[in-house]
Amino acid sequence: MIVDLNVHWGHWPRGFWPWKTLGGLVKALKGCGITRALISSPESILYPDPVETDRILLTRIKPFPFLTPVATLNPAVLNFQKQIAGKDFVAFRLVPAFWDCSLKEKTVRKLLTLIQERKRLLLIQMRLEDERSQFYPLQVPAPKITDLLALAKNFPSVKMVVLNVYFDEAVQLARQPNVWVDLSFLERFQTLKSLLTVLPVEKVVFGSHAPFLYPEAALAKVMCARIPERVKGAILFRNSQRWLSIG
Amino acid sequence: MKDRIGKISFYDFHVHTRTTEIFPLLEEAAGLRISRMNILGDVLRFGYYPEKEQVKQINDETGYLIKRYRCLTGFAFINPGLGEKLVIAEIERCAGLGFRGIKLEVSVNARDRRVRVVMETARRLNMIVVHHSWYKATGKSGGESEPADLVPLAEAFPEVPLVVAHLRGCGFRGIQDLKPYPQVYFDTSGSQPVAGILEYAVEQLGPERILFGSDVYFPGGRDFSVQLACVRAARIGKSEKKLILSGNALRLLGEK
Repeated sequence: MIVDLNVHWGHWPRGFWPWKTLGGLVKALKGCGITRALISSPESILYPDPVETDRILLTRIKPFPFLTPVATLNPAVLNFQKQIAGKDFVAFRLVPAFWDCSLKEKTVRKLLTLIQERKRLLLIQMRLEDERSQFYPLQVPAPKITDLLALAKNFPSVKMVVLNVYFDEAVQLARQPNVWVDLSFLERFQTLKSLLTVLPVEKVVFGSHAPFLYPEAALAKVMCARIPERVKGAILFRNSQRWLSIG
Repeated sequence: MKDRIGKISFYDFHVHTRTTEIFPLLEEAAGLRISRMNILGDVLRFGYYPEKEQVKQINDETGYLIKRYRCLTGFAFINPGLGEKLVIAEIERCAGLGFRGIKLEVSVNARDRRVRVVMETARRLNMIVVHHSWYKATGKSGGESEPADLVPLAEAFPEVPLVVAHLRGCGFRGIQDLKPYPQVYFDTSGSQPVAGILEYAVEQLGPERILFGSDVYFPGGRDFSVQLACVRAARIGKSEKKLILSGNALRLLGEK
């Protein structure tokens, strides 16, 4: 059993993915042994009203019960309240790098308060691409770690999974009790062996960032690691499975 | 991984190590069926512009490793900025130690005339050149070269095999820049395990011009298993994967 917390489908202007259909991607994920995937829409990051594009996501994924939809919230677009209160989504995603407001603004606090009240899982996407390989005129810096840590401290009962973090960022963020990190951007020589010397296994969850990245690459970090099977199981599904009944 | 490529062993064309105590590196590689590795030296140990003695120290370590372990080949790390006489002498010294090629990093941009001396020496000694390259939105490090910077070298030295490091850093644009030059290869390393670029490279260049390279920097950066997965998971044919993971490197180095 494998739960993938970091999957996308939709249009992305710089995505040149080898899977041309959602069915093709689903087949690849299932081929990796992934049994449940949380999926969000890349279009919702840039579209003026993410509710609209998330509605398209719901239609797209209907034939695939294996996929669990994640709504993308932008605190600058105030209809997020209705989205959080609704029943279509069990988890919500923030992509602060692409917002036209800062993490310190009042509306962000309002959004987090609602997530806290509804006891929903919050995914925070640090970045979509390696900054070095972004398109020159479209460079989007990742949010500041200090701002994310402040947010996590202010809302200690909100469970936050930060996706697409680099190694040193993961170590800083996951020290906060209510913050977890996914595997997708973490890489070192013997990635997991290195990571587990600085972080407890309970703080790491499986996320592939497919189709931007090969899901097999994230899986290889776990399957090729010389670590006990129970540790692999914790990362692949146990750590995240318990949250998915939330709400 | 169910890619049906059989039990072939793999050749990693792009490996760095900070230490000569590499038993864990060899052990990890063997566990993943990487049986041959090309050591390119600890090229950033002394910064972007290493001095003569520092370059020599890096190459001495590579020389020690290739002498000790038969599964390793080595390339000489060169700073072309050190001057013609020193550069030629160091390449000749390394060739005498059994090095098979030259590694250029970011000391001098590839358009600089001083790089020509390296290429001329490589041509004379039948050596391969591996050149770092990247289209980097965040700015260049030192004299870092973009793929377009390598075009004049590729045009002037068609007899010298030129391996462009970091396919995923060069991207689609880099592939197109260097597509017209059949002696130019790319290694698969660079950035995150981004999907789609290798498939595009195989379509545009053919599988014969792509080499598996992990860019493992032992004991720190990059993970063999992740880098192998980028090739093994790619939506390309079984025979194409075999060439990339092993056949092309063996052919280029004249090994069996």
